[in-house]
Amino acid sequence: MSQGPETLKNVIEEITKLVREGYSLTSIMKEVTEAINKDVGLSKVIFNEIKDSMVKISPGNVPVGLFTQCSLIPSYYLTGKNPSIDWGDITMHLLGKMIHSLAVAEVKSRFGNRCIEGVEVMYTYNSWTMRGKPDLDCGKYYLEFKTIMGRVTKTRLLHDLIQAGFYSAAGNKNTYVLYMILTDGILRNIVPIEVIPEVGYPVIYAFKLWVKAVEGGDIGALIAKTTSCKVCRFRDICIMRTRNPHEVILPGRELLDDYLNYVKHEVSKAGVKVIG
Amino acid sequence: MSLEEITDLANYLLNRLQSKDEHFVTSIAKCSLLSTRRDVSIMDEAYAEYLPRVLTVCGTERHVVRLEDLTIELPRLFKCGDSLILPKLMMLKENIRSHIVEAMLIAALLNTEVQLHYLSKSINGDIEEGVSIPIKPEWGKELLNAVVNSLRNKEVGIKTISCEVCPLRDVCPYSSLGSNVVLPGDVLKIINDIENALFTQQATGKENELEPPSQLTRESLRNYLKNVARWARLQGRTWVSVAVGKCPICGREGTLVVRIVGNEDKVLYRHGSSTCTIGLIDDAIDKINISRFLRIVRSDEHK
Repeated sequence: MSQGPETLKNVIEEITKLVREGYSLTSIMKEVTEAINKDVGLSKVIFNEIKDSMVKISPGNVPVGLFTQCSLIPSYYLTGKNPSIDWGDITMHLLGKMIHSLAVAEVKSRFGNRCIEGVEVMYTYNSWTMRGKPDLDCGKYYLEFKTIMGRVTKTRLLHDLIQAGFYSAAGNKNTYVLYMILTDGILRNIVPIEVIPEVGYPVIYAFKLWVKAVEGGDIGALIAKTTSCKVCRFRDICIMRTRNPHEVILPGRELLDDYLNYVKHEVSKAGVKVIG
Repeated sequence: MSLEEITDLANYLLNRLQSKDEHFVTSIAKCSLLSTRRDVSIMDEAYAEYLPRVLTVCGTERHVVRLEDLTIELPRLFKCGDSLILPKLMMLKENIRSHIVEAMLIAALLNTEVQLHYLSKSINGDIEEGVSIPIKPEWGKELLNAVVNSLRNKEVGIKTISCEVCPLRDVCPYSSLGSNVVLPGDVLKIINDIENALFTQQATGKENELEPPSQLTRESLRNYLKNVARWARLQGRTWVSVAVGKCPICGREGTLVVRIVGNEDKVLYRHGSSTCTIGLIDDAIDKINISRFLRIVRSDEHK
């Protein structure tokens, strides 16, 4: 897998040489893309591009999506450990993202400039910043798209809820989660969920606790966790792997029970089976 | 801003994402009667729309083709060098037929060869690197006639999905077709040939992996054990005896076994009724001792 970037580097050096020698850029591009198709394989190129785009993390910066999956994940990245990512991880990662871009395009064509893509929300504590990117910032509210295929676990709903809650709390406006419900690969329904800023407070509290712990030297502080260890990308190297893999951890989580029931009720109405 | 307004937006979006203005090739390939339903082909469309965000090397192309009095929209295609690529996320046994039909229609409509390209494939459980399948323009000529007839007469000319999953199954007069496939005879033959080539190629590839290494090095042994483990997963086996040797734990002679436990591939020595577990393949590779390899007995040879 490490051959990919190396080959690309060689290709780039080769192009630079050819341009100096006066070749036209079109014919070079043609040859380059042919080389990619033959030698590296288009799949590998896409694989590496996605892998690179999946996580960018640096000391002081914590992506909210990772933190709410499990607070150990940012810690592992900070200590220089990287997960092994396979075709399954890449495919599943894409499945979650894909339909969003269709929906974003449709919302933009309806609202024009009112909704902006790529806006970042931040919450800073003691020089540590938690960051997140809602799909669209529509001025008075954020929009976040999520896809459900057939059925969903309650912890996945909790994860989506607290992630959206963080956007609301940090941006101080409501976030609307739009669940795109697919059954057998066919889009059957779209369910809107309103998430008020208060929903994000437990995440912010957990983040503050985590920063305190990390600053105090406890880099492996397990303050928040919603994702099962069985599907975690760090499952092979994680020191906590002997714990109950499905355990959900979040301070003040019981305060969200009623809210979570509301989400569960809304998606159930649309024919989704909520399990766990 | 209230939830009512957002509910309006959700309804608008649902409407926009459920239907198309034109006949859409990706939908036709599922069932020609669903030609303007976007919801049946939304995953395919979404992947082609999303891909340019991560893959900027190749340019994308959009085509709308007039075929006699019909206007047909093609999915987004990638132009990489000389090849025209129809990108698909994952090859599954259930979707490959629809994808080949789609690629055949595109190749015929544009009169050029198209590469049906999969990022990954999942045929026997594991998700692996995908493949590229070249589709010739002449294969789809008969299909195009079937499409034209079907769209004009509102009859089923092409159907590759099961009526069980169809959003119109309650109102469609043809829903008794169930899981039957409807395709012109020659097309079905071409598709079967492609499928057979894909699946037998995969099977023969795996056969060679079960030859024990001729030279016993750390790497060759590790690769062999991993191949055995992969093969065992594909076959649904959890226990494969691979060799005989001296156990590093108790010192007795025993049978070296690759054991599949959940996501982990372990090796152990079996001595009569007791076993000594050495650990994961990677961890155990320096400890294990082999005096001779056993021929791996396939489950179908027992019969």
